[in-house]
Amino acid sequence: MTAQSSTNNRFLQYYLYRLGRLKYLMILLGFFSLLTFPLYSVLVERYAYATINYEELESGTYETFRNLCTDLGWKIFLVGAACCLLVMVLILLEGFRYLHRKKYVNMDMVLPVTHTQRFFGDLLAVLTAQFVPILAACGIGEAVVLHVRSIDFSEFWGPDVIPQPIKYCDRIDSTILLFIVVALMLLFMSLFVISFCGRTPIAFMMIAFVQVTVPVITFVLWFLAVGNSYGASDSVAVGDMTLFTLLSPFGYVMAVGYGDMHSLMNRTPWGYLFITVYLAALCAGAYFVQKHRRNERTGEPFVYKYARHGFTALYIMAATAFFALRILSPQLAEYFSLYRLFGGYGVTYDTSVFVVLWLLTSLIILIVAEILGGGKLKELPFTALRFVVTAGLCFGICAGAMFTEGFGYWKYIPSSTEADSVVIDFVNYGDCMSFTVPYDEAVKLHERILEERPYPEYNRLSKRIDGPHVAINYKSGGSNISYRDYMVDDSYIDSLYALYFKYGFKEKYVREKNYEYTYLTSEYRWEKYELNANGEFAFIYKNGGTRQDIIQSDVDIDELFAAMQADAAEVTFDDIYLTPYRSPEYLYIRFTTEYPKDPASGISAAGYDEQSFPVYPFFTRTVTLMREHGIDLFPEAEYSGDLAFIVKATVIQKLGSTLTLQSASYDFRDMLFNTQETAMHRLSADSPEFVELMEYTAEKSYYNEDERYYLVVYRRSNATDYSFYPITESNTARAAEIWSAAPYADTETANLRGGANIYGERE
Amino acid sequence: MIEIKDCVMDYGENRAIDHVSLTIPEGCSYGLLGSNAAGKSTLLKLLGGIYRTTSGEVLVDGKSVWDDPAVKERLFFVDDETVQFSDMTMKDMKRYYSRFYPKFDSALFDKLVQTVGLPTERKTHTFSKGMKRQAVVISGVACKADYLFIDEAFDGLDQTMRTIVKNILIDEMLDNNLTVVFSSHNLSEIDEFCDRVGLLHAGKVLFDCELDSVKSDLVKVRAAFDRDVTISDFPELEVLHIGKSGSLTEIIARGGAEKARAAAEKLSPKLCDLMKLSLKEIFVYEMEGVGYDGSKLDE
Repeated sequence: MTAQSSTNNRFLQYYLYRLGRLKYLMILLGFFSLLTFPLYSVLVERYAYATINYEELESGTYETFRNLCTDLGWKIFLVGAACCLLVMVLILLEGFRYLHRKKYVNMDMVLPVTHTQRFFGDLLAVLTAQFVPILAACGIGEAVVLHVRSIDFSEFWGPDVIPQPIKYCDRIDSTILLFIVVALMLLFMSLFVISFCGRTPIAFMMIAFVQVTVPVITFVLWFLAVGNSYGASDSVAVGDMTLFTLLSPFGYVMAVGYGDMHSLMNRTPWGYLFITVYLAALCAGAYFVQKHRRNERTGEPFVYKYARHGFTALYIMAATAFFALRILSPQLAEYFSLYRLFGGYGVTYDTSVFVVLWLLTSLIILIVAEILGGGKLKELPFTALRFVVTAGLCFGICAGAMFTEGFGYWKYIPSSTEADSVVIDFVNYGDCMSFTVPYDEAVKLHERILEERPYPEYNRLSKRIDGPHVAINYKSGGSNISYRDYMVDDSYIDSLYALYFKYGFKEKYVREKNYEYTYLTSEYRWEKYELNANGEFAFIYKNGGTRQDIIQSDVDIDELFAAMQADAAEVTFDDIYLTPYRSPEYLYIRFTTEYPKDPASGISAAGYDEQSFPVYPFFTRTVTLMREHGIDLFPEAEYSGDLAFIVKATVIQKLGSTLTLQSASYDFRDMLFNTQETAMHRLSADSPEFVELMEYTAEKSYYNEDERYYLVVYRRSNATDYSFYPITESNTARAAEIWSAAPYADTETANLRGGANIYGERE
Repeated sequence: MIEIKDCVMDYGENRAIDHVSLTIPEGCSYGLLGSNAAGKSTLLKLLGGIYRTTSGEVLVDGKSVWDDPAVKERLFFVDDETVQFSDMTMKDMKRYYSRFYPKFDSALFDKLVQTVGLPTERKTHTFSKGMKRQAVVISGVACKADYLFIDEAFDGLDQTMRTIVKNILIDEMLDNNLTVVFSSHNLSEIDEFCDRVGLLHAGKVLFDCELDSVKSDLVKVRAAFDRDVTISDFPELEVLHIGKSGSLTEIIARGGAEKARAAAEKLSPKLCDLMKLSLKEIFVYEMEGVGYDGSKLDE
């Protein structure tokens, strides 16, 4: 036998021997792994068949299986997964038993194998014992999933619908990868940790402690840095964590499963590459730590003299970071329910209480760690010094992260190579707009905000207040990579609206089908309506009618959308704000489908989706098209005969910039502040003054403390309905003249809301 | 040949092996003697490649033991504890060792197991202490290692068991030139079994020599002189001890029996008798000079 074949044979023999030692634990793991993907996928399969079976649909049996998939079955899965992870830790401890059980040192270390053969032989045996059952379970689950995906659901769900069983299959697929990565991370982190330990209880505890402390330190430091940085928002703080998250299995689960952090693992391969490098580094670290271990120290809590100090420092850092969040930023800590455990929601303890808790907790941790680690009383002064330095250093880092706003993170703007699209979310009281802008435009806006830093005291996670604000959302591949949220002052509003009308306004006229609710029910069968060529039947009616007053139009849907999109693409900021204002009319388009719907989902009637589209007076193509097909959206002399008032007031209640609330339940006077008794003066909608003032109206009316003038117009046809138009600032003087000349309207005794007895008259 | 060159090994702040240098020739039966906590087990584990020296070398035929499978294949270490094998049967042990020792002799293993009457299907935790020790020694012999290190070889064994184990080892030494190093704090075992002996105390080697030569060199003379005698009366001898018990004077001296008799008879004793020293006596008198209390050793 050659030297190489002898080496190979020796390695193989060692591996087989070690694997043999792990066989019983492997069988145990196999049992628990059956409770995960195999069981769950079988439940999904059973549910899938129930959804395409008439009898089970009618009897409601399918609901039982659906509930199993969403509730009990998922819980069993989670318990099974947790047990699998626990057994995997036991396999690791047994596979590397000579690290922490003294009686095996002589037996195992005397064998004629090199350290490299021993380390990798044990590692390979552990990996085999752990992942053969796990991968088998994943394989079984995936085989069932593939079978479910091959089922024909179209008869009951529809071609454009994703059936619920398929969504569960997607969940299984994503969870398989998640579970494997979590298991690998747990394995290599634990392997690294136990390389320092000399006793089994210590090894077990260190594995558990590290899984808690690393994410605590990671997340708290991040929250302190990002949460207090200018522009942070709650979903942002977690979503921006990037690679920092991936230092622990818990962090990885958060990266994959929590909201926008999903982007971290999906948009680029860097996440998984980082994990690969990280695990390789842990493996290499474990190899070298074990290589230089002193076997005679097995039996001591820690084999390396300073390992105890290192682990203790880690725990003290975690405790410090945990309390530092509350001490340094109480408002930020309020976001997390764990801190509210100390006082309940709404109960706030003084910061000094948390300082005491911090010191007490850290001290207890230190004492326990020293006892477990075999510390000596004579080392007390050094231990105390270590404690002070570690806690102080960690607190300093936390404070530094916070006060430097993430060490300058607040200035971070993703590059054009990182972000392939940018979405602006602009909220101005009642107006909520979300639209995509070119990267350069977004950066221009962003840089302006960062330079001017409006409302520096509010624009951070812990101190947010209501007000107009803009969020800049950088995306890559459709997923978020950075999300910054800023409250802005009035100087930004015009430019933001201009951006919206340039890039976003037309997006609302995209034709979409919404089939969100796809529950099956045995009570409904599809009813066939008369469908147009696209398989739809559209009811169209305009604002002002009720759903019972449907005006059926024969307009071609595609032609209508083409007209609206063309009109919307030409709209500018000036069209909306600087031309005389007219309320849009809303076209409601109802798309009827042949698929049944579940009333439990909230859809009041089976078989349709409805969308509304505002049409403005300057949508010339659309207005013309609708007029040709029997619907006159903007008839001439709109206001003739209507009842009008000119009001002098200050807007207090932020109910939307348009302030065109047209509901009988709202009294516009509720929105006004400092409305003097003589503030409301009567006009006639036919008067030249009214017509003149209508030329001075604009949608723009932001919150301000100055007195302004407003036109209020009650519909002749329905006196409970009114429109409310701000007069532009530049025409305030003329509005004041008209207001002064108009007679006072005693609205205190008039029932404007009821509409029927406005001065006892009706025009 | 085993060479231990200026080895030091520390357990934290404690020095377990303190600049030890030894040479153990091939085919030798070497007894490592010392009281508890002398460092015997530690030295054996250094020889077995289980522990690594803090400084110094442990060489087997010129090659370092540490992390060298080719060298380790030629060694076999028998621990004083057997609990690690407790869930193994004799068949399991045979399978276990045959994996790692290429020269493992299954036929010899079976023969020895049968000879001593060990059950093959029962787990060793059901064995008596002696049976467990036999099981491991048999495994070591069957591995056909060139060097066998046994920690507390005969500790806890009754006379019959001891004889059986010794016979197994002696056969192997004679047939295959096996080198055995075993530790003990029992002088009679060392005396009975070993060619060479080393005395370990507080991590240091106080004494390392061939047993026959030390036995032949040291002699006890019991004589009745008509006067008190002193060391100066025996200039030709290296006198280690002179004591008086009644009318008899007891002289322990180095130099051999004939020389001692001649030196004593010069003083015309009324009575002169030469006696062999027991190993314990040899150690007591040899170590007196270096302050070691040889009475700690068992006989």
